[in-house]
Amino acid sequence: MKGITEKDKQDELIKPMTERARKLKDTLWWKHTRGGEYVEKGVKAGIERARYMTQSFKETDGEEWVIRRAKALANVLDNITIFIKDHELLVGDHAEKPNLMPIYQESNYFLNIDLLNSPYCPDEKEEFREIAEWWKPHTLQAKAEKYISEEEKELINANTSFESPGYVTGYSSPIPAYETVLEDGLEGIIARIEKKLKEAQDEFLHQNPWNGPEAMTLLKKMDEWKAMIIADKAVMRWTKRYARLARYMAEEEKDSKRKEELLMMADICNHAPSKPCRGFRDAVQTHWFTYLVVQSLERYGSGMACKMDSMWYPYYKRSIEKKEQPMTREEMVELVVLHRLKVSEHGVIKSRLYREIHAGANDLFIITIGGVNPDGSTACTDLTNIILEAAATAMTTEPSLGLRWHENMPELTARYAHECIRRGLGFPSIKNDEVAINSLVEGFGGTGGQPVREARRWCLALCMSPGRSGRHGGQRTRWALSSYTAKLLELALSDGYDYSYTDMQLGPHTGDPTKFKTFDDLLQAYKVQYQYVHAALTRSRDLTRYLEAKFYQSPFLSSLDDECVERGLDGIEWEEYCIPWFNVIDDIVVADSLTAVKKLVFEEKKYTMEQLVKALRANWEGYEDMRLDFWNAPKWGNDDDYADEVTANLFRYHSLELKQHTNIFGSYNKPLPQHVALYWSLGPRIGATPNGRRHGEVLDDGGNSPYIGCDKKGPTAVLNSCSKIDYSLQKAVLLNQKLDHNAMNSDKGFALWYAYMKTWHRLGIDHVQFNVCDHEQLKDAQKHPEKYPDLIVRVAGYSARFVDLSRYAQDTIIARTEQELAG
Amino acid sequence: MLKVPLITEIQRYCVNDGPGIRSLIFLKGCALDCPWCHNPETKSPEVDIYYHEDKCQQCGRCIENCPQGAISWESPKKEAILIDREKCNKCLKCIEVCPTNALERVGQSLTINQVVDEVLRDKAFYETSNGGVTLSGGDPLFSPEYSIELLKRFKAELIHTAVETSGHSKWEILKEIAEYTDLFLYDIKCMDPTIHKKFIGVDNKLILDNLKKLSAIKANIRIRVPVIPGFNDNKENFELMVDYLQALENPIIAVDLLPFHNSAEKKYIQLGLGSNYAYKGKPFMEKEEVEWIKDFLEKNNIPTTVGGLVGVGK
Repeated sequence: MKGITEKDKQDELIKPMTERARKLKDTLWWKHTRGGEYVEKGVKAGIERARYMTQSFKETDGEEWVIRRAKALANVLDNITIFIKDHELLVGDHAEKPNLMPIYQESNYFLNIDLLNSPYCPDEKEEFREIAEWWKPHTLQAKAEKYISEEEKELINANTSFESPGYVTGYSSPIPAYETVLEDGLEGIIARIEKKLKEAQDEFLHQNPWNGPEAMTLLKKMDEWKAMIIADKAVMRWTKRYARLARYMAEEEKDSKRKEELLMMADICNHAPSKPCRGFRDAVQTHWFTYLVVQSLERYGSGMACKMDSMWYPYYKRSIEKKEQPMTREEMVELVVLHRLKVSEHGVIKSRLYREIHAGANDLFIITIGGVNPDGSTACTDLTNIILEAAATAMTTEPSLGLRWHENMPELTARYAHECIRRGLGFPSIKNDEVAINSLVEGFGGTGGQPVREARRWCLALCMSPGRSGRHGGQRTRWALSSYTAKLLELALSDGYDYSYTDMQLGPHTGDPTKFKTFDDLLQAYKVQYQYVHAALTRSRDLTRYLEAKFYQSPFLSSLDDECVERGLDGIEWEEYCIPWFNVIDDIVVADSLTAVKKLVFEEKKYTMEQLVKALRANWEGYEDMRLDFWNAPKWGNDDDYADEVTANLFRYHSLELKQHTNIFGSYNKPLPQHVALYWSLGPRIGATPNGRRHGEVLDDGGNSPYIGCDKKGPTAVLNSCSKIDYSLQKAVLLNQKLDHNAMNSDKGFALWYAYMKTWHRLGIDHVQFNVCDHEQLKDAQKHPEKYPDLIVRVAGYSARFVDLSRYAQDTIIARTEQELAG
Repeated sequence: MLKVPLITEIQRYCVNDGPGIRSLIFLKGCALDCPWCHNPETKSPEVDIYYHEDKCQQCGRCIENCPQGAISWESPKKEAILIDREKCNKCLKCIEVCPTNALERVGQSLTINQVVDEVLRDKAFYETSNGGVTLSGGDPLFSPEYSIELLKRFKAELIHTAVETSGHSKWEILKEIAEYTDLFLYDIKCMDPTIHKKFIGVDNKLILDNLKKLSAIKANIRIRVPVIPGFNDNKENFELMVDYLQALENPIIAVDLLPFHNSAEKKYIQLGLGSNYAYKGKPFMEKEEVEWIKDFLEKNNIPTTVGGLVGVGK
């Protein structure tokens, strides 16, 4: 990598958007949600996916389920309305119109009921009602409910101590093996599968001597291979429909330049994803088509997991060197901007719960870049820089970028990252490459770790969680669920009874808290509550996985994976490299609370447990002096060894306690402390806490981020506190940092931030992301939202447009920047 | 026995007072009395009491518990309290009983070890940013033995040291301090000794002589000039300054112009000094208003910044 030239000076790094991109951006249908509702009027569900999938399922009664899934997908792809928008160069959508989103009627009936009674119901309401009726017994949710108790159902519906499981939410997050499609094309993949199928058929029909145990496994494999072929061929037919549409539009087109573009698009769609990609345009289009099927049409998968710069690089190289599909660097930046706009318009119909959790966003689209190659050399290239540049050019919240920061990070790539951050995008979110690689190499028990060369291919499955990418072995569905630990502490302080929100016995009886004699008594009660919830979560996730393998197969996704093809396995059934986790939500509220109780009750004996329990039940009303004492007790994030020790220990317990549960593939889980937007939405569900927080107030905003208003010693003290956590015991840990807007934008802004980042890396901290907001600007944006359509803030694992957030959420973000000024 | 001065704060992650990321140590006590001082809480070597009216819940406990009867309601409405700073003997009883930290102690007595421990916590940041520690105040020269001891310890830890000072002390003291100081941030307020004395209470002879000597022993020096309207923002002052700086034996690194700002006004009020503050309500100076000085100094080959140095490297 060459050094920084004068030309690279910060303001010159980023060019304005092209006219084409500007026009497309101005007419986008944003699918963001606010307060649990879609912000833009007219955004709703489209009927077509549900219609064609149901039509097919009715016709295939009696066939193997995996074949039915493949045929249903094929019926959708053959019949769904397609369109190409003016100015587009990158085409493809998952619904019949840009304002619509497909329905996943087969995952859970709650969502169907919610949809029927919401403004987002498809225009064909009666048709959808029939579809929902037909699916009710076939949904994953209905199938799962046969195995669980009424009591557990109530806990799940309460959604107050833990997140509802996948069989209720249908939530998934795969890391698809895009590389096989880019490199071999679907034709190449199909040829491989057909060969396997032929061999298996021959083997089954002609085996002599007959070997039953071996031969009988072939039946299931043959079904899987057949399903893969049906799905893959349908995808090729669907993309060729786009080629025909583009050709047809070209014939009608008067403008000669646009005509040429449409013919080029027809050529690309005819080629991609059927054949190996020739150059950069093929690669971007192939990736997008594949993404649409895997994560929107075959089933819903959250995120946009891929190691984008590495994956696109060979094709970038051919195009920039003018060998195939020649392109200039500027054209590439524009194409990546167009890709960002495609993602920005991409939406998901989801339940109210997820509309709340993902406030200000639509879904969690995270792309991974940077880091090292399998041989340990840097994977940062000019394409990495192009991807960052396109983000700073487009100024859209989605997709978010995750940058793998490694030893000897190229300074130019760091500069592009700094450009995005100082402009307030809130990303790239930065992950410590070595920490993630070590974690994957070590493995989580069960299926064991991965060779270091493979681990170095990692990308983020969702906001924070590293998983393997590449031709085989990536995650196929969601591994995570979330527990709400502040509630668990509340339960430990109330014998398991939830007096503040549900009025239910949410946890086991752990004894009268006023009788706790030592700090360990309290900790023990907390651990029992923690164990109870995580046993339930592990069980429900295993149940989900079991049912997904029977009724929610993904033959297209599976066909991309070399190993699934080789073994005739659906991805869901395969143990892959099992590296599961639980999102441990509001852990810093727990840490600060435990610190305060330890000090004020058990060490200084200034208050008794009885007084504490009374004050908490009263929501601190009438106990203001006492509340202030607890609020002013030592807090995490100030490089204070007392508070940091309690917190680091809590992180350790959280990990060790999880090791006691073993999942379907023999692995244990690691904690992943992070918060999405739960730190607002859980506020009302969690009563007063001993850190001095009142019922309803927000929780901590992520992982090891200090509680709002409690980090009084600035960013270096926060990093020092964070360095005291043993990250090898955690899946990942989210850290939100706010940096001074003026310093970041000064002449020395980059140099300072670069030094800060190097220290962060040296301290071995897992993650960091930044909010760089001008306080006055945020206040003005609250008053005049129309002036700030592009003002972006970091929420938790993702960024959001400030104007899309609820007043409450906006206020907490402003409070966070106020702290910055005071500090 | 080492005389231990009070410290108001050890502020970490500072980026405006010397190169890189730094920790700043604010020592109480200063020989000068600048009416615009941005850190009024550090002027006096004694402990002070802040009253944060916005945090006060009007419980009246400070009034009840003050042995001197120095605290009363500001008005019959009982919306705020008033401390009679003359009567107050700094027993700090009021701070003990205040439940909301509306009353705050200004000035802690910290041992050398305590200060060094706190500063060393950010050593990794100093190393990656070429930063370090800055002694500020007040004036570190007001507590020479303590400052020298601190600087010695920091140099033993290979930490870059800067000293922000008025330069008003015996040369012997400054000379010893210079042995352990990598960078001086040295104030020149005004070249005219009469005006200097009139505004600040002392004339500038000692300050200017000391600077000459510091230059002679090749200390690294940045000159800081707070640009105060009606005090030193005239051409003649800067003409004299150019002559003076050009006559130094070794060139200084740069002049940092610090345009007048009023952000300390709240601190004056919290200290009960609101009515004495001469710059109450005066508008902030814009960067553009001092551009002419920068142009003038640079025309005379003196590197100049507005707002001082932010960041990494010299």
